[in-house]
This record gives sequence, structure tokens and C-alpha cells, in this order.
Amino acid sequence: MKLTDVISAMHCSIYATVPLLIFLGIFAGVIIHVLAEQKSQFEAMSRLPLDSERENGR
Amino acid sequence: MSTHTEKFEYDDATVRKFVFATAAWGVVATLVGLWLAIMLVAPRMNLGLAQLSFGRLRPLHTNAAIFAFAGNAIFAAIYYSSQRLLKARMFSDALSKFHFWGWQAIIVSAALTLPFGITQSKEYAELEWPIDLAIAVVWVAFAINFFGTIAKRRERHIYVAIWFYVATIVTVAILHIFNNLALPISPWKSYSVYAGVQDAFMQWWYGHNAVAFFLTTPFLGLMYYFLPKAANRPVFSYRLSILHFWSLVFIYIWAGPHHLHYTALPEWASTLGMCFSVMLWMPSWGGMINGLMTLRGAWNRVSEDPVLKFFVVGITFYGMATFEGPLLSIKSVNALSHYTDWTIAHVHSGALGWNGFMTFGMLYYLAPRLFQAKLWSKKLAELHFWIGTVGILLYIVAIYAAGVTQGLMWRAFDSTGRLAYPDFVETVVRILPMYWVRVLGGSLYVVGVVLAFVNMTMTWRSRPAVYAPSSDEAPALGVYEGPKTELALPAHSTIANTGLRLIYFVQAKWHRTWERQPLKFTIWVALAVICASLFEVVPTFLIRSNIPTIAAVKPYSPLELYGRDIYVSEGCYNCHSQMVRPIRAETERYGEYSKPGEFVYDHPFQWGSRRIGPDLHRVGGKYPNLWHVRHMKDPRSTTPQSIMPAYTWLFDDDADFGSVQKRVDGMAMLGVPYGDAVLHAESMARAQAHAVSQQIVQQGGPADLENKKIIALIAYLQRLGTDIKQVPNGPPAGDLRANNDATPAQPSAVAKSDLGGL
Repeated sequence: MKLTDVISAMHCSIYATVPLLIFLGIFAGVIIHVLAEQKSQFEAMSRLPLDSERENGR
Repeated sequence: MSTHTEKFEYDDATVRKFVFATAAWGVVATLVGLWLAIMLVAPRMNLGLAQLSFGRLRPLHTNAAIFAFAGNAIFAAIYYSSQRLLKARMFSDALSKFHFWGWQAIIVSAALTLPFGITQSKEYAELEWPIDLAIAVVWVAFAINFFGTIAKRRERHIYVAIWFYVATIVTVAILHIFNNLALPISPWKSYSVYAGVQDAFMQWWYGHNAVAFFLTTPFLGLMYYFLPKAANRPVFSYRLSILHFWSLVFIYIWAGPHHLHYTALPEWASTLGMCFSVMLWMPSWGGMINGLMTLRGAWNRVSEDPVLKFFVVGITFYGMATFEGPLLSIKSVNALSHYTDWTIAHVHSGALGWNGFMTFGMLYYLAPRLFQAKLWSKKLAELHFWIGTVGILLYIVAIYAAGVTQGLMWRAFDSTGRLAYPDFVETVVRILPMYWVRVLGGSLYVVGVVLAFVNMTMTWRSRPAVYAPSSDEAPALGVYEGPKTELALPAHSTIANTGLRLIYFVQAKWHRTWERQPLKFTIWVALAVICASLFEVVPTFLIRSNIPTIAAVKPYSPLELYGRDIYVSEGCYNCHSQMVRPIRAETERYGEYSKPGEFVYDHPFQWGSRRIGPDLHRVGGKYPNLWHVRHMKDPRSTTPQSIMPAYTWLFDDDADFGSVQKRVDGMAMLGVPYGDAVLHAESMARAQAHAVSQQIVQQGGPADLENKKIIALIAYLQRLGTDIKQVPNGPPAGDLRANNDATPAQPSAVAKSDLGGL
């Protein structure tokens, strides 16, 4: 029996639904992360490009 | 944390090289594009040279724009910003040099192969297998250099721009490897291991994500670094940038199938691609808003600073293009827009506006810093900005109008229910004025790019005799002593452990940990991309009902296969599709709609993505052989207003019958059931060539074509789309087909019943 036979016989009709659920779960997780973090932390991180160089150009 | 401060120097020499390469290749890419635009209104401008014909030159334009111009720009951005964000010199100077020169060698080899018809014919992945291998090697060197730099960084937190670069490096590697899997049959010819629907799926999984992870994520990294620097303000919302990143990584990879709506791709895949494409609105606009709002309090400087001007317009085009992309992915909109110039306008608003202007903004920002001299002419940069903006607007407005005009004319019916414009060429002639406006807009844009190159060069000429070292200092990264975010569990309490795990997850401290652990972070990005891809790839490849087989569909004869390779080599797919969609206007114009099972022997698929000329999937048997002879020799002799170039060299070049056996053997190795042809391919090809040339003579044509390439091409064209008109179990594979005449056959009832219920 080939893998093709197995997958074809599974009659999976949820291929379109599973990824949507995964995406929503991850998205919810990321939202929780960004909301749970303190603003001061983000401010420090957002200043990294500005602190990153002692300019020697003109 | 260690308090010992270390001094170090950034490697700006490599960045300078990438900056120059960006400006130089920008001139080349846009000039070739302008030449192509001129050829569409004046087809004789190819000067009768095969190497300058539209089909061969268009891939050179797209490859130069994407991999030479945008590619060098993102490398310049990554090398400059990563060192400063990570507070470390690049991992290896030798790898940096290898990366730069290796990439330029790849670009030059593209320029030396594509005009000579050496191509895989997969859009934006045209380069043949030896160059593909070189790309993989150079990319791995780049990845080692980049991740090595992260490993020796002095800044613990990894800024969001670096995340975008990580996603780019990981995903492009995956896309490149899997889309380019091919079987070489000679040093400059290979066949895709995928066929038909599966090849189309892989190609547009790659094609869309090349846009996502080569033209979007690295440019977003560029935006998140250079815009705050130029505006001297931190990014508007770091929270939003995190959302932006993860949403793009999780959504973009799914969206590829929207390039194949109403084709033979399974509908569930197409719908899935549409859903995720529509969801892309959210992160894309989040990113655009984040970019523009970064300028809060600095808008007064925009009028004085060309760098900010370029960035503002570039980000605005990002917003426009990413609004339009999801719109075009909606099936009902796509039914109108697909194959038209609407897509070309969409692509150019992104490429010229977003990629181009972000690049120019970065170049003008970097030039004085890298060359340690004042920008040669701020006025010239201002002129570049305005001339470029007007050029883009002229280009895209004209081509949007052309695209919508095409779409509406193709589907128009008169009051009697017949096609209002049955001759395809009518729809071509109508949009020629818009093509002229494109030439004007494109010319302006090219002038702007030349001005940028001049400005860069003159600034470079004002450099000091010896560059001052670009030095910095920072404490070495010691043992992390900040807030603990790793999960520490007491040993004995299961309930307490579960509670702690829950709190850990809800507070999302795991993410904070990843941000300090680039390896884990990279693995999760790779997993997100791979899992999303597998969800679409596995069913498409392994569920048989997705591609119902058709008994009447047989492999191409050896001569037809050789003719198909000539079709691929000439880049015919750049102007002609081979996919009749199940839309009435198309079945009325072209015939029976295309079925998935008709393409099972197509390595690679040739569905195309635009119709400068008509679809060819049902062209087999539509015209006599002699019509094809006359049409290919001088398209205006059969269609007076045609803008197709003449293919005179196909009448001069001898057919390479000696290579036919290798071609058939290659296909057989890929599983195409070739039967006797595996042993006698060359003699079978010669016999069919003789038969076809005799038919041409009988129809009143020239008698000296039997050994010319044109015969093989005609044999292939006459075979196209005819299999489902044959009875199943007809002539065995490789037999000479009797359909090289002008009598269109009718689809048989038997064949129709065998189409898997479509």
C-alpha cells in the first residue's frame, strides 16, 4: 500500500479548517504576548536602531 | 552581565559594494524593462535577433529586477543594519566577499543564459540547474555569515528587523530548493520533477512567496531599521511590529494558490489561498500604518529630506499593493483580472513603488555615511524622486486601464449571445495607446534610476583618500542576568506544575525567551513555514481525486516533446497561457475548458500567467500546418495587427534530432510511460518530422523544413489540447499522431465520461 492510497482513503474534508484554527490560535498567542508585555520593555527595544551606532558619516 | 567594553569595526566595505551593485543593476533591470515595453508596441525592435525576442528577454528583466536590483539592495540593508543592531562585525569577511562576488556571478550567468533560451520556464525561477546549485551554495554562505554574526552579537535582544531577515533567509532557502527540484538531462537542460497541476502548485507556492519573502519581509526589515534612523524617531509601535511579523509568517505562505483560480488546481486549495490572502490585509496594513506613523512629529522634515520622501511614497505603495493583492485574490475579481495587464500594473506598483523607492531611500541615506562625503547633489535626488513618482503613476494608471479593458473585452458578448470581440487581436490593438503611455512612464523611471547611479558615483568620487574606520564599542554578551522568563517547575507537585505552565503560556514569557535565543526562534519560523506548506502540498500531491486521470491523455511523441522544449526555450509562456478556464467567455473563444488530467505529462507545466496573445491550450488542429509556418515566419502575414515577433531563426536553425533520445529518456525517468520511444526516439522523431513537412508541402508551403526546428514546434502546437478529443486506448504512446491536419476533432463521449466527474 502506498502513501497515496492511505491519504486518498482518509477522505479528509478538514484541510481548509485546520490551518485556519492553527492560525487563529497562534494569532491569539501573539496578541496575548504583546498585550502582556510592559510598555517600558517595548520602548527600550524600539530604540535599538537609534542607539545602535556612533555615526561617523555626514 | 559583563561590563568589559569591547571595541570593534563594522565591515562597511561589503556594504559599499552591494550599494554600487544595487545602483548599477537597477539601471540594467529598468533599461531591459523599457526595451520590452517598446517591443510590445514595436515588435520589430527585436532586430530579428533571437536573443532580443520578448519571450527570452522578459525573464531577464524580472530576474534582474528581483534578484539583481532588489537582491543587492536587501543584502546592503542586511549587512549594514544587522552589524549595528547586533553590535558585531559580520561573522566572516571571507564569507562576505564570497557572498558578494558569488551573487554577482549568478546574475551575470543569468544574463548569459536567459537570452540564449536556457530556461526552466518557471516564472522567477527560470535559471537552469547549475545556476540553481550555485544560488543554493551562495545562500548557505550568506546564512552562515548572518547567523554567525547573531551568535557573536553584543546586543542581547534581537530587534524586529532581524526577525524579518531570519524569516527571509530560512524561507527563501526552502522555496528555492523545493521548487527547483529537477532532473538534469544535459549541462543546460533539465525537467521539473513535478508535472502539470502539481508543478503549477509548487511554482506558485514559490512565486507568491518569492514576493513575500524576497520582496516584502527583507524590505520590512529595511523599513524598521532605516525609517527610524532617517526620521530619528523610534518605530511607532513595537507591539504592532511583533504582530506584523508573526501574522505575515503564518499567513503569507498559504496564499500562493490564488494565482491559480479557475485553473485545474483543486478548488479547496484555491479557496484556501483566497481566504489567507484576504487575511493578509490585516498585517500588511498594520505594517504600513506602523511605518507612516513612525514619522509622527517629523512630517515637517519630509518636504526637505529626499530620503524621507522616498520612504513615505514607498510605504504608501506598500499599502496600495497589499490592499490590491488580497482584492485580486478574491475569485470573482480574479476572474476578470487574471491573465490581463491588471496583474502587471499591480506588480509594478509594488516593484517600482515599494521595492524601488525603499531602495532609493536607503541608498541616499547610506551614500554619505558609507562614502564619508556629502551627497553629491541633493537637488538631483529630489529630481529623481519627482521624476520617478510621475513615471510610476503614468505606468500603472495606463496599465490598469489596459488590464481592465482587456478583461472586459475578453468577456463581452453582443446582443445575440456571441463574443463581441471574437478576434483576440482586437483586444490587443485597443490597448496599444496605453502601452505607449507605459513607455513614457517607464522612460521617466529609468531616467530617475540613472540619476541615482550618477549621484552615487559622484558621491563616491568625493570620498576621502582613506576611509575612517567605522568603529563602535559595546560590552561583550555575558551570562544573562535580566528578568527570568524560562519556566522553572517545582519537582513534586503536578497541579502546581500545570498551573505554572498555564501562567507561563498566558503571560507569553516564552516569546521573550525566544527573542534571546535565535536558534529556537529560527526553528519556530521554519516550522511555521514548513507546516503551512505541508498542509497544502500533501493533499495536492497525494489525494488522487484532486487530479482525475484521463485515459485518452498520452505522452508527447519524441518530436512533440522536442517541440515543447523549443516552446519552453523561446519563453512562449510569457505571452500565451495554456489554461482555458471554465468561464463561458473562454470556452466560447478557445473551446473545452482545461482538465487537471490533461497535464499529467507536462514537465514543466506551461499554463503561463498572462495573455499578451491568445490562450493556446486548444490550438491543436485549429489551423493547418502551413498557417503556423506563415505565422511564425511573419505574424503580420496571418494577423495584420499582431504584435508577436517573427521567429525567423526557427526556420534557419537545424533541429537537434540527436538530443531527442536524451529528452525522452529524461521523461521516462520521471515516470512518463514512453513505451517503444525509449528505444527509438530519434528515428520516431525524424519520421514524424518527415510526415509534418510533407503535409506542409501538400498545403503549398516550402519544401526545405524537414530538418528545421520549426517542424518540431509545429508538431507540438498541433498536439496541444487534442488528447481529450481522441478515444481512450487509441494510438500508444510515442506513435505518430494523425492529428497534424486542420480538422478539429470533437470530444468523444467516452473521453468526457472519464474526466472524474468534472
